[in-house]
Amino acid sequence: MPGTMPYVLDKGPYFSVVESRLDNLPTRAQALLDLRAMAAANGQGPPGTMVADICGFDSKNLGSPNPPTGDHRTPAARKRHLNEDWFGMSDASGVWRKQPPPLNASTGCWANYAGDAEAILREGMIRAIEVSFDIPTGGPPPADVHAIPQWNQAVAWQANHSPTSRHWPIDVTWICQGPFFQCWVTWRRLNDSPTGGHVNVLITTPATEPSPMTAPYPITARITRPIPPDTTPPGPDYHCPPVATAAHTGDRGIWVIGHENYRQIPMPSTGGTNSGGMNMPSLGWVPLDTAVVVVEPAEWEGGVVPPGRAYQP
Amino acid sequence: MPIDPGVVEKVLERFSNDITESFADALSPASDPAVTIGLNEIVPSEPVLTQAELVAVSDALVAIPWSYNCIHTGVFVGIPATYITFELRGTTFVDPRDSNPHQWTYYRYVDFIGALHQIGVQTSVRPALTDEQYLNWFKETHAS
Repeated sequence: MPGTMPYVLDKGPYFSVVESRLDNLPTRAQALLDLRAMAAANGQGPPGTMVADICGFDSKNLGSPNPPTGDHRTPAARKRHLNEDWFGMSDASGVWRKQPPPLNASTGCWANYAGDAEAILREGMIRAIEVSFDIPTGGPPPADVHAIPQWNQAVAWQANHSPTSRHWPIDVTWICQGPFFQCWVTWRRLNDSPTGGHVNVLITTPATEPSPMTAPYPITARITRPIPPDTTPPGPDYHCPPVATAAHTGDRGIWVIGHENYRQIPMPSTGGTNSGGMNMPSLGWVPLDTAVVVVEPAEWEGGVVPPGRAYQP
Repeated sequence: MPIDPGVVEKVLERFSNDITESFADALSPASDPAVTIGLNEIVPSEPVLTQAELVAVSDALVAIPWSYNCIHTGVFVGIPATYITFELRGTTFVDPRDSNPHQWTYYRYVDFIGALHQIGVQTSVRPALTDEQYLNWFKETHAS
């Protein structure tokens, strides 16, 4: 994530770009073939053959370190972030390799979690694409969708073709809290038209611990903020209530609905009492105001912009 | 003036009742005795310290490190029963200066995190901060 992740659920610019690439059917079909091919080396290998290489991290609208815009990262830094922090990989040998964490240690930045996050995410995306195309596990892409690795050619193909096979859109969202790294694929069919349904990929990850490119991000009890913590946010700030164009006319949206803010009620256990009367420790949350608010999170804090973030090679 | 050795004996007879009664709705004894005096070395070994050495006595308090071999049978710090057997560990400081034992005051320092880990609750989660705490965190981590 390019921002500070104050919320429990995130999409943000990176997953918006992933969705944009998957919206292009030849690219989606190619991604399916690429992800399956990666299984032979369990997702490891030289640069250019990894999950990180098909996410659209080179999209020009994600930002740049010089001049500092967006996430302030280079495409290479984004790939390194995914490989090192999400997958626990190292390229010290010149080839990306997974680093089995020792007992009771962490994978990448995932605190106290030792698992193959890359394989889980890869399998989750494979399954989501298969559901979107209505093909059995391991089956070929639809006959009327060509897998095309080159983006401009894929865009041109899609502009001139209207596949009649199923190609439901795919949403990707992320909940960072733990304790396990998992991918949840859900879907819903509405009708028999090619786009008569949708697929959701929900990635759940453990909480983060510090790494060169991540912080152990806390979440906030308050779903609005008095001021943006970043004086130069890479995009529009949050809205409460959501702006009209993002509500019912926008192509995409993420809202969080809840009480705006809470106060903590901690209860220690160490106060003196008579025998048998120990106070149990607890942490309660009490809303400051019981009104329910609707907030459209800023994109850089996990939300989306209404038109989406189209991949820009 | 140090606490009378006879009173210390009474404290040692009674302190385990405080533990089992305080957790009566959440934990059940898994052995008899379930509460033992000790410092619970990570690697089990011959006891290094005697009971007399483990129990500290001042002019006002008797301090007793203990372990409760128990079963998680009720709501324990908000966690519903898992029926897992585990060791709850802590130290109780008893102020026995009142002549009536029912008026003694108990202060307990319990290893709740160790207990939560044993019953499968991970504590490495993203902390939830108030807005003031969050802005302070942001200021501290983005100072440069």
